[in-house]
Amino acid sequence: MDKKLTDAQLVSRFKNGDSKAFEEIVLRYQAHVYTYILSIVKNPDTASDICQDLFVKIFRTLHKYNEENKLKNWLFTLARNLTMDYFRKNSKRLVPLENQDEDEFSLLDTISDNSPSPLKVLIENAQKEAINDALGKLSMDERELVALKDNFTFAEIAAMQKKPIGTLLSKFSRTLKKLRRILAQRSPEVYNEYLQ
Amino acid sequence: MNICNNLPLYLYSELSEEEVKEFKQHLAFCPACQRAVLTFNTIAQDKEVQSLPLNVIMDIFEKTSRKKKSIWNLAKTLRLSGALAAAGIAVGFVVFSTQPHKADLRNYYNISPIAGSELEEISASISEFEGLVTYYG
Repeated sequence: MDKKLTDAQLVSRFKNGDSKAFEEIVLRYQAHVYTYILSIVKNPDTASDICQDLFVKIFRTLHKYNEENKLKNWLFTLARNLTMDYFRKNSKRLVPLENQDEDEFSLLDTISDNSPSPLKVLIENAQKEAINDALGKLSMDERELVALKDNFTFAEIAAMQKKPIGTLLSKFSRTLKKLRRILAQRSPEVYNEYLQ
Repeated sequence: MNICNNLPLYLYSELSEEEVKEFKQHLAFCPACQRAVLTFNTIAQDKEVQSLPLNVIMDIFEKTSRKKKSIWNLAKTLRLSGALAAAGIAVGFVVFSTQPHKADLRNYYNISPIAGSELEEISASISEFEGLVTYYG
Protein backbone atom coordinates (compact mmCIF):
# COMPACT_ATOMS: atom_id res chain seq x y z
CA MET A 1 0.00 0.00 0.00
CA ASP A 2 1.39 3.37 -1.05
CA LYS A 3 1.88 5.41 2.13
CA LYS A 4 1.61 8.68 0.24
CA LEU A 5 -2.07 8.23 -0.53
CA THR A 6 -4.20 11.00 0.88
CA ASP A 7 -7.04 10.32 3.28
CA ALA A 8 -9.51 11.03 0.48
CA GLN A 9 -7.84 8.47 -1.77
CA LEU A 10 -7.85 5.86 0.98
CA VAL A 11 -11.56 6.41 1.63
CA SER A 12 -12.28 6.17 -2.08
CA ARG A 13 -10.33 2.90 -2.37
CA PHE A 14 -12.15 1.49 0.64
CA LYS A 15 -15.50 2.32 -0.93
CA ASN A 16 -14.37 0.42 -4.03
CA GLY A 17 -13.79 -2.68 -1.95
CA ASP A 18 -10.15 -2.34 -0.97
CA SER A 19 -10.04 -3.49 2.65
CA LYS A 20 -6.31 -2.77 2.83
CA ALA A 21 -7.16 0.92 2.53
CA PHE A 22 -8.96 0.68 5.86
CA GLU A 23 -5.93 -0.96 7.44
CA GLU A 24 -3.81 1.91 6.16
CA ILE A 25 -6.19 4.37 7.82
CA VAL A 26 -5.89 2.46 11.09
CA LEU A 27 -2.10 2.40 10.96
CA ARG A 28 -1.97 6.07 10.01
CA TYR A 29 -4.13 7.31 12.88
CA GLN A 30 -4.03 4.68 15.64
CA ALA A 31 -1.22 6.28 17.66
CA HIS A 32 -2.61 9.81 17.59
CA VAL A 33 -6.15 8.73 18.36
CA TYR A 34 -4.99 6.38 21.11
CA THR A 35 -2.83 9.08 22.68
CA TYR A 36 -5.75 11.50 22.52
CA ILE A 37 -8.17 9.09 24.19
CA LEU A 38 -5.51 8.07 26.72
CA SER A 39 -5.01 11.69 27.68
CA ILE A 40 -8.68 11.85 28.66
CA VAL A 41 -9.26 8.48 30.31
CA LYS A 42 -5.77 8.01 31.77
CA ASN A 43 -6.04 4.23 31.57
CA PRO A 44 -4.38 2.24 28.76
CA ASP A 45 -6.84 -0.69 28.81
CA THR A 46 -9.83 1.62 28.65
CA ALA A 47 -8.20 3.69 25.90
CA SER A 48 -7.46 0.49 23.95
CA ASP A 49 -11.08 -0.67 24.27
CA ILE A 50 -12.48 2.66 23.14
CA CYS A 51 -10.00 2.76 20.25
CA GLN A 52 -11.03 -0.70 19.13
CA ASP A 53 -14.72 0.26 19.24
CA LEU A 54 -13.88 3.41 17.30
CA PHE A 55 -12.16 1.69 14.40
CA VAL A 56 -14.76 -1.07 14.18
CA LYS A 57 -17.41 1.66 13.97
CA ILE A 58 -15.35 3.47 11.33
CA PHE A 59 -15.13 0.26 9.28
CA ARG A 60 -18.89 -0.22 9.41
CA THR A 61 -19.80 3.36 8.49
CA LEU A 62 -16.94 4.50 6.27
CA HIS A 63 -18.87 3.55 3.14
CA LYS A 64 -21.42 6.22 4.07
CA TYR A 65 -18.84 8.92 4.81
CA ASN A 66 -18.95 11.71 2.24
CA GLU A 67 -16.51 14.34 3.48
CA GLU A 68 -13.32 12.68 2.43
CA ASN A 69 -11.20 15.72 3.06
CA LYS A 70 -12.04 15.84 6.75
CA LEU A 71 -11.42 12.23 7.73
CA LYS A 72 -9.12 13.25 10.58
CA ASN A 73 -11.76 15.56 12.03
CA TRP A 74 -14.38 12.84 11.82
CA LEU A 75 -12.07 10.33 13.51
CA PHE A 76 -11.35 12.57 16.47
CA THR A 77 -14.96 13.70 16.81
CA LEU A 78 -16.07 10.07 16.95
CA ALA A 79 -13.26 9.31 19.39
CA ARG A 80 -14.48 12.04 21.67
CA ASN A 81 -18.11 10.92 21.41
CA LEU A 82 -17.21 7.33 22.26
CA THR A 83 -15.08 8.48 25.18
CA MET A 84 -17.94 10.57 26.54
CA ASP A 85 -20.29 7.60 26.06
CA TYR A 86 -17.88 5.52 28.12
CA PHE A 87 -18.04 8.01 30.95
CA ARG A 88 -21.81 8.19 30.80
CA LYS A 89 -22.04 4.43 31.13
CA ASN A 90 -19.46 4.20 33.87
CA SER A 91 -19.99 7.28 36.04
CA LYS A 92 -21.41 6.54 39.47
CA ARG A 93 -22.85 9.94 40.08
CA LEU A 94 -24.18 12.67 37.87
CA VAL A 95 -21.32 15.12 37.61
CA PRO A 96 -20.80 17.31 34.61
CA LEU A 97 -17.65 16.17 32.85
CA GLU A 98 -17.01 19.33 30.87
CA ASN A 99 -16.35 22.93 31.70
CA GLN A 100 -15.06 22.20 35.15
CA ASP A 101 -13.30 24.86 37.17
CA GLU A 102 -9.59 24.45 37.40
CA ASP A 103 -9.60 23.82 41.12
CA GLU A 104 -12.36 21.20 41.20
CA PHE A 105 -11.67 17.51 41.11
CA SER A 106 -12.83 16.11 37.84
CA LEU A 107 -14.89 12.96 37.69
CA LEU A 108 -11.88 11.39 36.05
CA ASP A 109 -9.94 11.83 39.26
CA THR A 110 -12.75 10.10 41.15
CA ILE A 111 -12.96 7.18 38.79
CA SER A 112 -9.33 6.66 38.05
CA ASP A 113 -7.55 7.74 41.22
CA ASN A 114 -6.65 4.16 41.94
CA SER A 115 -5.63 3.47 38.37
CA PRO A 116 -1.95 3.51 37.70
CA SER A 117 -0.92 6.40 35.47
CA PRO A 118 -0.27 4.83 32.08
CA LEU A 119 2.61 7.18 31.39
CA LYS A 120 4.41 6.16 34.56
CA VAL A 121 4.97 2.77 33.04
CA LEU A 122 7.01 4.34 30.25
CA ILE A 123 8.85 7.05 32.13
CA GLU A 124 12.59 6.54 32.48
CA ASN A 125 13.68 9.68 34.15
CA ALA A 126 12.46 12.09 36.83
CA GLN A 127 11.79 14.94 34.43
CA LYS A 128 9.45 12.92 32.28
CA GLU A 129 7.74 11.58 35.36
CA ALA A 130 7.26 15.05 36.80
CA ILE A 131 5.92 16.49 33.58
CA ASN A 132 3.57 13.66 32.94
CA ASP A 133 2.39 13.88 36.51
CA ALA A 134 1.67 17.54 35.96
CA LEU A 135 -0.22 16.79 32.75
CA GLY A 136 -2.26 14.23 34.63
CA LYS A 137 -3.35 16.83 37.11
CA LEU A 138 -5.01 18.93 34.45
CA SER A 139 -8.77 18.84 34.05
CA MET A 140 -10.24 16.67 31.31
CA ASP A 141 -10.90 19.70 29.11
CA GLU A 142 -7.34 20.89 29.50
CA ARG A 143 -5.83 17.46 28.77
CA GLU A 144 -8.05 17.12 25.75
CA LEU A 145 -6.98 20.48 24.36
CA VAL A 146 -3.31 19.65 24.84
CA ALA A 147 -3.82 16.28 23.11
CA LEU A 148 -5.80 17.80 20.24
CA LYS A 149 -3.06 20.34 19.65
CA ASP A 150 -0.80 17.50 18.52
CA ASN A 151 -3.14 16.94 15.59
CA PHE A 152 -5.04 20.13 14.80
CA THR A 153 -4.55 23.86 14.56
CA PHE A 154 -6.41 26.10 16.97
CA ALA A 155 -8.70 27.16 14.12
CA GLU A 156 -9.56 23.52 13.35
CA ILE A 157 -10.26 22.73 17.00
CA ALA A 158 -12.44 25.83 17.28
CA ALA A 159 -14.44 24.64 14.27
CA MET A 160 -14.75 21.07 15.60
CA GLN A 161 -15.85 22.16 19.04
CA LYS A 162 -17.87 25.14 17.75
CA LYS A 163 -16.09 27.51 20.11
CA PRO A 164 -14.51 30.91 19.47
CA ILE A 165 -10.79 30.58 18.81
CA GLY A 166 -10.13 33.26 21.44
CA THR A 167 -11.69 30.98 24.07
CA LEU A 168 -9.31 28.18 23.15
CA LEU A 169 -6.29 30.44 23.13
CA SER A 170 -7.14 31.75 26.60
CA LYS A 171 -7.71 28.25 27.89
CA PHE A 172 -4.37 27.08 26.52
CA SER A 173 -2.54 30.01 28.11
CA ARG A 174 -4.20 29.25 31.44
CA THR A 175 -3.25 25.59 31.07
CA LEU A 176 0.40 26.52 30.66
CA LYS A 177 0.25 28.66 33.81
CA LYS A 178 -1.39 25.81 35.69
CA LEU A 179 1.28 23.34 34.58
CA ARG A 180 3.96 25.69 35.75
CA ARG A 181 2.24 26.03 39.13
CA ILE A 182 1.86 22.24 39.47
CA LEU A 183 5.52 21.67 38.66
CA ALA A 184 6.55 24.31 41.18
CA GLN A 185 4.51 22.58 43.87
CA ARG A 186 5.11 18.91 43.09
CA SER A 187 8.46 18.82 41.35
CA PRO A 188 10.54 21.75 42.56
CA GLU A 189 13.73 20.19 41.20
CA VAL A 190 12.29 20.20 37.67
CA TYR A 191 10.85 23.65 38.20
CA ASN A 192 14.13 25.07 39.41
CA GLU A 193 16.11 23.37 36.66
CA TYR A 194 13.99 24.29 33.68
CA LEU A 195 11.42 26.88 34.56
CA GLN A 196 13.26 29.52 36.55
CA MET B 1 -6.37 43.11 21.20
CA ASN B 2 -3.94 41.90 23.83
CA ILE B 3 -0.97 40.52 21.98
CA CYS B 4 -0.35 38.01 24.79
CA ASN B 5 -3.39 36.17 23.38
CA ASN B 6 -1.28 35.20 20.38
CA LEU B 7 1.12 33.22 22.57
CA PRO B 8 -0.40 29.76 21.84
CA LEU B 9 -0.44 30.54 18.10
CA TYR B 10 3.20 31.55 18.29
CA LEU B 11 4.14 28.38 20.16
CA TYR B 12 2.59 26.21 17.43
CA SER B 13 3.82 28.33 14.49
CA GLU B 14 0.33 29.33 13.51
CA LEU B 15 1.10 33.01 13.06
CA SER B 16 2.01 34.76 9.83
CA GLU B 17 5.55 35.99 9.34
CA GLU B 18 4.52 39.52 10.18
CA GLU B 19 2.68 38.39 13.30
CA VAL B 20 5.71 36.35 14.41
CA LYS B 21 7.97 39.39 14.17
CA GLU B 22 5.47 41.43 16.13
CA PHE B 23 5.15 38.78 18.82
CA LYS B 24 8.89 38.34 19.20
CA GLN B 25 9.20 42.04 19.87
CA HIS B 26 6.49 41.72 22.50
CA LEU B 27 8.14 38.62 23.99
CA ALA B 28 11.34 40.49 24.69
CA PHE B 29 9.49 42.66 27.20
CA CYS B 30 6.80 40.35 28.59
CA PRO B 31 7.91 38.14 31.54
CA ALA B 32 4.59 36.30 31.62
CA CYS B 33 4.92 35.20 28.00
CA GLN B 34 8.58 34.34 28.54
CA ARG B 35 7.61 32.01 31.41
CA ALA B 36 4.89 30.46 29.28
CA VAL B 37 7.34 29.80 26.44
CA LEU B 38 9.75 28.18 28.90
CA THR B 39 6.99 25.99 30.32
CA PHE B 40 5.82 24.97 26.87
CA ASN B 41 9.32 24.04 25.70
CA THR B 42 9.88 21.95 28.83
CA ILE B 43 6.58 20.11 28.42
CA ALA B 44 6.79 19.65 24.66
CA GLN B 45 10.13 17.89 24.64
CA ASP B 46 8.84 15.08 26.84
CA LYS B 47 5.35 14.65 25.43
CA GLU B 48 5.19 11.57 23.28
CA VAL B 49 2.69 9.89 21.02
CA GLN B 50 1.96 6.36 22.18
CA SER B 51 1.01 3.55 19.89
CA LEU B 52 -1.85 1.13 20.36
CA PRO B 53 -0.59 -2.27 21.49
CA LEU B 54 0.02 -4.52 18.48
CA ASN B 55 -2.43 -7.17 19.67
CA VAL B 56 -5.18 -4.53 19.79
CA ILE B 57 -4.39 -3.47 16.22
CA MET B 58 -4.56 -7.10 15.10
CA ASP B 59 -7.89 -7.54 16.93
CA ILE B 60 -9.23 -4.55 15.02
CA PHE B 61 -8.17 -6.10 11.72
CA GLU B 62 -9.62 -9.49 12.62
CA LYS B 63 -12.94 -7.88 13.48
CA THR B 64 -13.02 -5.80 10.32
CA SER B 65 -10.93 -6.12 7.19
CA ARG B 66 -9.72 -9.67 7.89
CA LYS B 67 -12.90 -11.02 9.41
CA LYS B 68 -13.41 -14.70 8.45
CA LYS B 69 -16.96 -15.78 7.66
CA SER B 70 -18.05 -18.55 10.02
CA ILE B 71 -20.68 -21.10 9.01
CA TRP B 72 -23.21 -19.12 11.03
CA ASN B 73 -22.38 -15.92 9.19
CA LEU B 74 -22.84 -17.75 5.90
CA ALA B 75 -26.23 -18.99 7.04
CA LYS B 76 -27.29 -15.49 7.98
CA THR B 77 -26.32 -14.11 4.60
CA LEU B 78 -28.36 -16.70 2.74
CA ARG B 79 -32.02 -15.97 2.04
CA LEU B 80 -34.37 -17.99 4.23
CA SER B 81 -36.04 -19.74 1.28
CA GLY B 82 -32.67 -20.75 -0.07
CA ALA B 83 -31.66 -22.09 3.30
CA LEU B 84 -34.86 -24.04 3.59
CA ALA B 85 -34.46 -25.42 0.08
CA ALA B 86 -30.97 -26.52 0.90
CA ALA B 87 -32.22 -28.13 4.09
CA GLY B 88 -35.02 -29.86 2.18
CA ILE B 89 -32.61 -31.27 -0.36
CA ALA B 90 -30.35 -32.43 2.42
CA VAL B 91 -33.22 -34.21 4.21
CA GLY B 92 -34.39 -35.82 0.97
CA PHE B 93 -30.92 -37.06 0.27
CA VAL B 94 -30.67 -38.59 3.72
CA VAL B 95 -34.08 -40.34 3.42
CA PHE B 96 -33.36 -41.64 -0.09
CA SER B 97 -29.92 -42.83 0.81
CA THR B 98 -31.27 -44.90 3.72
CA GLN B 99 -34.02 -46.72 1.64
CA PRO B 100 -32.92 -50.10 0.27
CA HIS B 101 -33.05 -50.62 -3.54
CA LYS B 102 -35.19 -53.37 -5.04
CA ALA B 103 -32.14 -55.39 -5.77
CA ASP B 104 -31.33 -55.31 -2.10
CA LEU B 105 -34.87 -56.14 -0.93
CA ARG B 106 -34.37 -59.90 -1.24
CA ASN B 107 -31.37 -59.73 1.04
CA TYR B 108 -33.10 -57.23 3.25
CA TYR B 109 -36.03 -59.66 3.86
CA ASN B 110 -33.84 -62.75 3.69
CA ILE B 111 -35.64 -64.07 0.64
CA SER B 112 -33.67 -66.80 -1.14
CA PRO B 113 -34.53 -68.23 -4.65
CA ILE B 114 -36.52 -71.47 -4.70
CA ALA B 115 -34.43 -74.55 -5.65
CA GLY B 116 -35.58 -77.13 -8.31
CA SER B 117 -36.69 -79.94 -5.91
CA GLU B 118 -38.56 -77.54 -3.71
CA LEU B 119 -40.39 -76.22 -6.75
CA GLU B 120 -41.57 -79.71 -7.68
CA GLU B 121 -42.87 -80.34 -4.16
CA ILE B 122 -44.73 -77.07 -4.17
CA SER B 123 -46.22 -77.81 -7.63
CA ALA B 124 -47.39 -81.23 -6.41
CA SER B 125 -48.98 -79.69 -3.35
CA ILE B 126 -50.79 -77.11 -5.46
CA SER B 127 -52.13 -79.83 -7.80
CA GLU B 128 -53.38 -81.85 -4.85
CA PHE B 129 -55.03 -78.76 -3.43
CA GLU B 130 -56.64 -77.93 -6.75
CA GLY B 131 -57.95 -81.52 -6.89
CA LEU B 132 -59.56 -81.16 -3.50
CA VAL B 133 -61.12 -77.86 -4.48
CA THR B 134 -62.52 -79.50 -7.65
CA TYR B 135 -63.83 -82.47 -5.70
CA TYR B 136 -65.55 -80.41 -3.03
CA GLY B 137 -66.18 -77.39 -5.42
